[in-house]
Amino acid sequence: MATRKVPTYCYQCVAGPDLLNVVVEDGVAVKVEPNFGVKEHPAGGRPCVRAYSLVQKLYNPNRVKTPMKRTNPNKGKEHDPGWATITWDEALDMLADKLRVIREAGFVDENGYPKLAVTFGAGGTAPAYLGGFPAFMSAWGGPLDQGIGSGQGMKCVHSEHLYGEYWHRAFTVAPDMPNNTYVLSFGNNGDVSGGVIGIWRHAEARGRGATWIQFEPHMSVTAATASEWVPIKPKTDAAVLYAIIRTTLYEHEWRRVCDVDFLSRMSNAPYLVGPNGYYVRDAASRKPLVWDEKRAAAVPFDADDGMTYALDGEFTVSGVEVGPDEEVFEHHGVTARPSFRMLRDFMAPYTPEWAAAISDVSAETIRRVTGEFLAHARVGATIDIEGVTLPLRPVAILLGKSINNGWGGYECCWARTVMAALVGGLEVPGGILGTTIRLNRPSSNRMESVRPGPDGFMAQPLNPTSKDKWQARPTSRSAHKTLVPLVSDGSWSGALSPAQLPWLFMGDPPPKWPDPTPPEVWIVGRSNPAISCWDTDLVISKIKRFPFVAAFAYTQDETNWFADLVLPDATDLESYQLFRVGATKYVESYWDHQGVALRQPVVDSPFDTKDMTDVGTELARRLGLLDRYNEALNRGVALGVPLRGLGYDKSLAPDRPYTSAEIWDRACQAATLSLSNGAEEHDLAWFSEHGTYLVPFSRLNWYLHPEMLKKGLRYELPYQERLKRIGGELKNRLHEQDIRWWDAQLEEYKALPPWKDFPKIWEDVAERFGKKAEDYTLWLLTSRSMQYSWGSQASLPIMADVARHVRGHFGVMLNNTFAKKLGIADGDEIWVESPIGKQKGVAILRAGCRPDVVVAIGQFGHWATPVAKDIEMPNLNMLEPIDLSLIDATGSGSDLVRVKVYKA
Amino acid sequence: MGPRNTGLQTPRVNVALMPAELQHEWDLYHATWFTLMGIGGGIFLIARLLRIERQLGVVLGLPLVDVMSFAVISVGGLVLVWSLGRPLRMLRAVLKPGTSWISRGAIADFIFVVAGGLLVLPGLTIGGAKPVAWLPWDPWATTPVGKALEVIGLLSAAVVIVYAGLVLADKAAITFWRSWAVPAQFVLSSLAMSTATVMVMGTLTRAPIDTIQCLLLAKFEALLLLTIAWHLVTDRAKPGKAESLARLYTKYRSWFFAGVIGAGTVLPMLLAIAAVLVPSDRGAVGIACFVLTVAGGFGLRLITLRVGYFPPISGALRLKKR
Amino acid sequence: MRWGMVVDMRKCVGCQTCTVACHEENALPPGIFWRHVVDVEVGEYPDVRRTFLPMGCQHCAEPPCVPVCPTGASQQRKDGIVFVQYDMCIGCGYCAIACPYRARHMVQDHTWYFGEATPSEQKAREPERHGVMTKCTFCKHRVDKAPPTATPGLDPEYTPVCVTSCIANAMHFGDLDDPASNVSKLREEHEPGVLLEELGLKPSLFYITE
Repeated sequence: MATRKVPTYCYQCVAGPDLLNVVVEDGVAVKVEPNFGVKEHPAGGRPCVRAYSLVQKLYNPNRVKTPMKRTNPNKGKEHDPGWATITWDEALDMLADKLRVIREAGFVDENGYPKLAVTFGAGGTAPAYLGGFPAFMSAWGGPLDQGIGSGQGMKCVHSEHLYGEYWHRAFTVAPDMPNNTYVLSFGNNGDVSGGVIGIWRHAEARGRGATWIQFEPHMSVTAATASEWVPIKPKTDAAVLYAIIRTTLYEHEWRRVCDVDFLSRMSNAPYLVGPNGYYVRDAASRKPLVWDEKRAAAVPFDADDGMTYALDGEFTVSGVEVGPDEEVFEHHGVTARPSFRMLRDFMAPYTPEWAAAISDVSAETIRRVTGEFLAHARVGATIDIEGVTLPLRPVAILLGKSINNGWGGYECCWARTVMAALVGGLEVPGGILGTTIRLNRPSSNRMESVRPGPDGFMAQPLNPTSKDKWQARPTSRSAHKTLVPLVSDGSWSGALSPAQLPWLFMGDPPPKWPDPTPPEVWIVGRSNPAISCWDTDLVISKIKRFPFVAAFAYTQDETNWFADLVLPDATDLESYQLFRVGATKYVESYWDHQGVALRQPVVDSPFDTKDMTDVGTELARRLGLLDRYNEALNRGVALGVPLRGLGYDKSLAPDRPYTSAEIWDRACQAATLSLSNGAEEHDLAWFSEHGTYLVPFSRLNWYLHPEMLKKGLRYELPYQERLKRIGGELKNRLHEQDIRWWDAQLEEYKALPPWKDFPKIWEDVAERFGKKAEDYTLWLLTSRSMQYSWGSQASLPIMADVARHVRGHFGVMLNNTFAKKLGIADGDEIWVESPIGKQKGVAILRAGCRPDVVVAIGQFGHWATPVAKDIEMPNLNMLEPIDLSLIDATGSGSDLVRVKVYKA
Repeated sequence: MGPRNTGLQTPRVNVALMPAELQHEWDLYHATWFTLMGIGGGIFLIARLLRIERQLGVVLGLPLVDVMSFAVISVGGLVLVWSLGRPLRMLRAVLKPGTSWISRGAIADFIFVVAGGLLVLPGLTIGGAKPVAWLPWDPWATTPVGKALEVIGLLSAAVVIVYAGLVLADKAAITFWRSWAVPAQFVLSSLAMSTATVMVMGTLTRAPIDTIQCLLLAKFEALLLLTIAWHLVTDRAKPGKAESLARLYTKYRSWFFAGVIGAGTVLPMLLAIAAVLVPSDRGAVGIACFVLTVAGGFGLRLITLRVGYFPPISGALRLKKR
Repeated sequence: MRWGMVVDMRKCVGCQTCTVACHEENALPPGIFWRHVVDVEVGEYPDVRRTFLPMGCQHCAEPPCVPVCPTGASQQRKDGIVFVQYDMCIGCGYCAIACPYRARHMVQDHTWYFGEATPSEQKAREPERHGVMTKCTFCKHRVDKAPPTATPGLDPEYTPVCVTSCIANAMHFGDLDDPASNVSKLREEHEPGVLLEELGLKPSLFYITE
């Protein structure tokens, strides 16, 4: 028997790639093993539970095995598509013909929207599986809409993405767990979602006695492993966070517990704020002023290093405030207060008693955890990192999804980051770190993305809101450039836009808004919006109207049921891709090494699949775009490394198609040459055997602090002057167009965001749908399943077999005592009903759940996907409306809905 | 390291980490097997001890009750074999008599069939001929060899009716079974079933049903009742047994109390007592008792299996407070 | 020498990676798990404790499953590993009844996840394991492969897969009789407990709790 171990990776979540070996016996893949050879991997080269389903995923007999086209012209849930098998040539010709028509007739339709739209969803995992296809998108040469959502904004940590990256290059925020001793986690389910490295590091921290307090309405896995579980009322996290700040500033001697030096030199705490809420600036240089206590005078913030910044007090100063649209307020002898003082005054009403009444978290608990947090912060302590002395602040506040997105997401993200800034625990050892960036460039290097911007802060590529540059007419159906300044306009911006809006507005646009037309061609892959978006009935009603849908399909699913053409997906173990590993990446993936890992076909594909890179090449060739496609690859698009670099040239000739293996062979060579500065070169054959190539990565790159110091920059915290101004400008622009339906969202742009009655936003939904709020008294929440996310595991019976050992699979969790009052016993079938629909499921009674909360984990409710359709499991998405009242200023929404439950 | 959370300072307590769990390993086949072994061994014992084997009929020159006994045992054995994952390997079951009650039982079954078979063999009559009559004993154990074979048969029959209960009571993890009461119940139930069977056979062969049979039946049932009662009232809170009792009192409430105890035990006992007083109706009583005791005995075994809970798995944990 | 495990329940997150890794390593049929992690919840709201308990054969020093076996298929090795000699097992189920840890699993017929065997299921199938009792073997096929230079428990190739697959590093395997072994040191440092200690079966799995 011939046994081989084939190294590859799993990127079924962004916390990867997880490295693994596939054991192949006589040409048949039989099992997955950790890749112990990669000693540099922070979690011992071990992949998580989902990776072990890859073999079954490969051989699943329910896969789409060949290209197929629709024969039934009627699209609907009730209409079988009538698939007819076709060849790859026929399939690619069909798609290319449709695309050619677009190219010839014009890229944009009469309403200004791109005729081609692509949706590759699944929580940022798609790039690790698209092969060279993004180079085809780059070669397309015209606008292409990526804003037709598959759940982004609803299913991601959206506010954290946008504000986190804005404040500290933290598209995702992680604790520096190896140095941390104290975490306050608001719903961050890191022991499910933190990836193998996060889970490994949390476990090590627990082993050495670190404390983790979990505020969460139900007892998730992370609440289970935590030192303490605090059952907080849903959507009241901001209140507790505000009370923690308030307690810090009023009940402790702030000069002692806060990092005054950090606040003075690394934040905008000393910036003076005028009566209109904008910085008071030097009239000539327009630099924000600070009060130097030594000179007893207001001076520009960067006047010199030796000054003593006033953080507290009121000062009479002269200068100008600059408001929206360059409106200037001139001041002579006006009273101004430092931002820090503004914060302190602002926080005065938010006492622990106030927060306790809102959140069900006792004032005693708030005071206690604040005290513990401040004690653990050890302000003044330092640590040596590779010979450099850095502050040590081993405390972190973490936020979970639905806390850090949707309404209240901004307030929570802001309060958390402010709290870190108060103790100087931002981007320093032990504190909170951003581990990846997606809106700034270069995306592979956070440090390089730190560039000087206005007023002493980092630059951020915001979408313009000025009268002359604002995009009045949206060029994508999700209107990210028009509505969301923070999301920028890079390659990820479409996907991070208000991606519910196309579903909501298509065919039913709000006043003064061009109707988002169905795209002429929609390419969808590795995502299933008809399950993963809210309001699935609405989504389906819109997809049905799309004239041509080409779907990369693993199995029949609820979205490709409406496709005109399905192309069998080459799964994880059937295609090539070289992908970046190490350095600092999503979630808690920060390493002492960086490099690349190869994903490769471990066996001959059992079905008629095609490597995505070959698909991209073939489409480019058919459309006469080969030169541009190859050039895009040469630039490094899709490959992650340019084929032409310092001292090497592995570029592709413009005029001929290359096979996937040839393209990735060059990428392997280029990547190793680039990583080793020309010292080493390895080709595809080497990677096929070795899998991974790594070079050391300095731990100093984990922390932005040294870079900020080096560049003399400050964090734009706690005061949000820029956001306030941008919000004012956006309001002016929209009102000039007589657009008022975004007014509630415009209220989010506050320099210091006040608490709003966030729970009420959801309580009010019933009335909007003609129902009575008092009929829906429970909160339906969702929570991550580690066994089921992003990798089509719902169609794999091995995962169901494994997942049933984890509480919550397969039913609806609710409090046992409360359920008894409703006459519901464990195992009873119950209805969960929201104002827009109802779902049936089996009751799972638990003690670890608030009595006013119901939890349905994961995203199920399939009706077309084999195996999954036999799992009777309610899906929150089917009960949650896509509604403007639930969309925040960043375009995101929290996964929660008010429901009632009763016995079926 | 900073201060530990105060919640962690609570003391360790032993808590059930896994609740008690019903066993699903043994069910219908095993109840059938236990029942048939009980009847098979029992009728041989009763008939031989009461020395009524001859009255109960002779077929092919062999005592009918003995043939019945071997047949029932064989069917029981086949049921057991049928229940095995690997029936073709059944002979291996005899390899560990030193420690395993299944091995001991299998050997006892084997010895019983062989010794009993040998005992009756000389009586074999085919078409008037007795081909093995030359053997130095007869089916009625009147010779020393015959007596020896009968003693071996009786001893092994005793093991046959007792081992089923000991399989459960000896090393099983199921608390409800870990009691002398289970084998005692099985033995008493076997004897009751067997006595009733013998009574029926007597009726069918027009043999007189002695008072002693009625008294024995009544006594076996009374003792069985006492044993069951004792088992129900002792160790009621013991982990595993508590769950078994709860299931017995809920899901199997009517089947057990009205069926096994009422109809399967009390009623035959009362009928047997009545039969002592009214000898003329003993035939009808025997038939009724046979139906009742066999159904009750099977029910007793099946319900005993079906309420078998593995005890909760406990460990010492600190319970955190909010 | 006596092989054993120390499980750190403070670290376990109940993710079932060990569960699936074991299932795949040992090519088990649907529904059969030689070991899994129990999701435990005790207490009443709001004083609730949820914890994760990796459960499998405890490889008792006094295993009740061994003496009850009528064929001698259920065996204990000198190094403490309790296993089933499949070709001797008749599948009577007595050992499963005897094990208070519920760690024995009868495999009946050939079953496959999709009705028909996939190529990987066909390749990895173990016909000798049908109709017999199965259980955790402490991955003795891996342990036994260790050359004299390697140490099971430290060298992943020769260590049970549940241990090597654990993404929280919560499980440790080694020689309980060697005072210098990883597991002995953990026992000394944390004084871990055992499950159902009162039964006196002397299990080889030790659990570190808070």
